[in-house]
Amino acid sequence: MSGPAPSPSRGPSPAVRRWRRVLVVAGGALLAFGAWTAWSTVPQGQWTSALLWLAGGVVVHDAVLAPLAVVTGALVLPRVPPTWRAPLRGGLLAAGALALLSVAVLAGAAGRRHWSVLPHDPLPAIATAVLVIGVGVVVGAFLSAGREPGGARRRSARRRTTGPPR
Amino acid sequence: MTVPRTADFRSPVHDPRVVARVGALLGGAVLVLFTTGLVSHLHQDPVSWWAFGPAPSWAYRLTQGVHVTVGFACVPLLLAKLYAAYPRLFERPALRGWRHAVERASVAVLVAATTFQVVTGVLNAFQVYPWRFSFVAVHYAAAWVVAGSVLVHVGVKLPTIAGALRSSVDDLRREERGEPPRVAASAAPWPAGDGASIPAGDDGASTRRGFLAAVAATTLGVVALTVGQTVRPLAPLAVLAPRDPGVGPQGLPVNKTAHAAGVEQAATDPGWRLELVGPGGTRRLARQDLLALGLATAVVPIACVEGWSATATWDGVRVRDLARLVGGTGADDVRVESLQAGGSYRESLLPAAYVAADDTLLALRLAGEDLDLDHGYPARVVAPNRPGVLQTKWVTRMTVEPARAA
Repeated sequence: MSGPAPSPSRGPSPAVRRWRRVLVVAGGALLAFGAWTAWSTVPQGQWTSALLWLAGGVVVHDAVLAPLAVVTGALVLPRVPPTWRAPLRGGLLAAGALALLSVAVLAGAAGRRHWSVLPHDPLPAIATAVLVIGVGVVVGAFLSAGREPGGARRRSARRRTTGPPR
Repeated sequence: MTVPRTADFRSPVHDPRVVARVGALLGGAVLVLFTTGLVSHLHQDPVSWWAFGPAPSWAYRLTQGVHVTVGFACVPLLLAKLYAAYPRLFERPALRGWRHAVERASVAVLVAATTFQVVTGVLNAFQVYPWRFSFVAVHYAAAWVVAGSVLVHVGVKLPTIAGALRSSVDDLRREERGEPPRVAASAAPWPAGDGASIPAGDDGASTRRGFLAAVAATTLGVVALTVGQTVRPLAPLAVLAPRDPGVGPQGLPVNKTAHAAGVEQAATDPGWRLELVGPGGTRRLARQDLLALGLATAVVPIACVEGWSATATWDGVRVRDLARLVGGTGADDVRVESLQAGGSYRESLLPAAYVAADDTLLALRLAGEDLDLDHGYPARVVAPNRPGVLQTKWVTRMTVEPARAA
C-alpha cells in the first residue's frame, strides 16, 4: 500500500463512500441487535446497575484519567529532556495499565472465594512490575539518546518550558 | 490553566497515523474477542446451525484462553487509543450540526461499551462482582453493541483511517531518514486542524515510533504476565493472572466450592445415590456400584470461562455406558443435574456427540485419588472441548433424552 492519499478537497472516492455506507448500516444493525438482546434478556431490575456501569466508565475516564493525562502532558513532559519524553510517556501508559489491573488483582485477593484464586501474594508481583516499568523507561531513554544525532548535547539541553498539553 | 482545544495537542503521538495504528490493533483485538466470545456463548446456548463436538479436546481451552488474555491486553490498548485520540475530546465547537452530533454520539457509545466490556470482563476474571446484573447476559448483549459501534466508527472515519494507514509506512520511513514528508501523503489523511499544528522537527518520527513501541511492549507485557494461567509453561510468569493452573486441591484450581453451592452435607452423605433415568426405566447407583462398573481414564482439560485451564487425569464411568443401563441407544442427549439447589449451572445438557465420546466421563477420581469435595465429589461430569461451567459437579441425576435436532 503506497502512493498519495486522495486529497480531502476531492472528498472520498466512490469506493470509500460505498464501504462507508456498508459499514455504517452493518454497524447500526449489530447495535440494534445488541440493544434488542439487552432489552429481551436482561431483567428490568438489573438495568439501573448495568447503565450505571456503562456510564461510569466514561465518567471515570473523562473526570479522572483524561485530566490526569492532559495535566501530565502539560506540566511534566515539557520539563524533561526530549529524549526522556517518549520513554516516560510509554512508562506512564504501562503504569496506568498496571494500576487498573492491580485494582482488579487486589480486589480479587481481598474477597477470594477459594484459596486457589490469586494463590500468590500479589504485592511483590505488582512491586516488581513497577520496577520493570522504571527500568524500561531508563533503558528507553538511553536507546532514544543513542539514536539522536548529537544526542549527548540534546540530552543535556533541558527545555524548561511550560506549554499546552502534549 | 484553561481547558485545552484540539490544536493545543501538539505531540506527534496524537498524529492520525498513530491513532489509526493503535485503533487497528484495538479493532483486531475486538474482532478476536467477539469471535471467541461468540464461541463461548454458543457452547452454553447452542444453536442447531453451529453445533460443537468433543474434538479437538483443546479447542475451547484455546478460544477462551485467547478471549481472556486478549481482554487483559485491551487494558493498555484501550488506554493508548483513548490517549492518542484526546484532541478529539476537546473539539470546539462541541457540535457542528446533526451529522457531527450523530458521529460524536456513536463515539460515546463505542467508548462506553468498550470500557464497560474490558473493565467488567477483567473484574469477572478475578471473581469480583461489584454490580447487580447478570454478567453473562449483559456481557453478551454489550458485545454486539461494541461490534456495531466499531463498524460505525470505522465507517465514519474510513477516509481518515485509509489515508493514515496508506501514507504512514512510506512517510514515516522518509521522516526517519530525515527527508521531508511528501506533501500529499502527510497532509491528506486528517481534516484541517487535526494535526496542522504538529511542530516540524519535534522528533516526530521517533516520538511516534517510541509511543507505538511502548504500546506494543506494554501489551505484550500484560500478555506475558497473565497468559500463564492457561499456558502451563508460562505459569511462573503469570503473576498478574487470577489463577495458577497447578494450584488447587489435587493440583487443580476451583471455581465454585461445595460450601458456596450449599451441597457439603448432601455430597458427603453415605446415602448418596446417582439416579439414572431413561426410556428403559430408572436405576439408583451408589458410588460403590459405579466403581464396580469399571473405570475408564481420560486426560481432559478443564477450561474455565474465566480463562484459566489445566489438563487433568480423570477416572470414571463413560457416560454412554451409563445411558445404556437405562435404555440409551448411543445417540441420545443426557441431561445432568447437580445436588446444587439453584444457580445458572445446576444442570447441563450433554449433546449426543459428547455422550458418544470415549473421554466423556462421570468422573469419580482425579489424579489417582477420590475427587476432592470442591471438585465435585462424589461424582462430576468431564468432557473434552467444553466450558468448565458445563462440567457439572456433585451430580445427582442423569436423564437420557432424545437427541435435539442439531
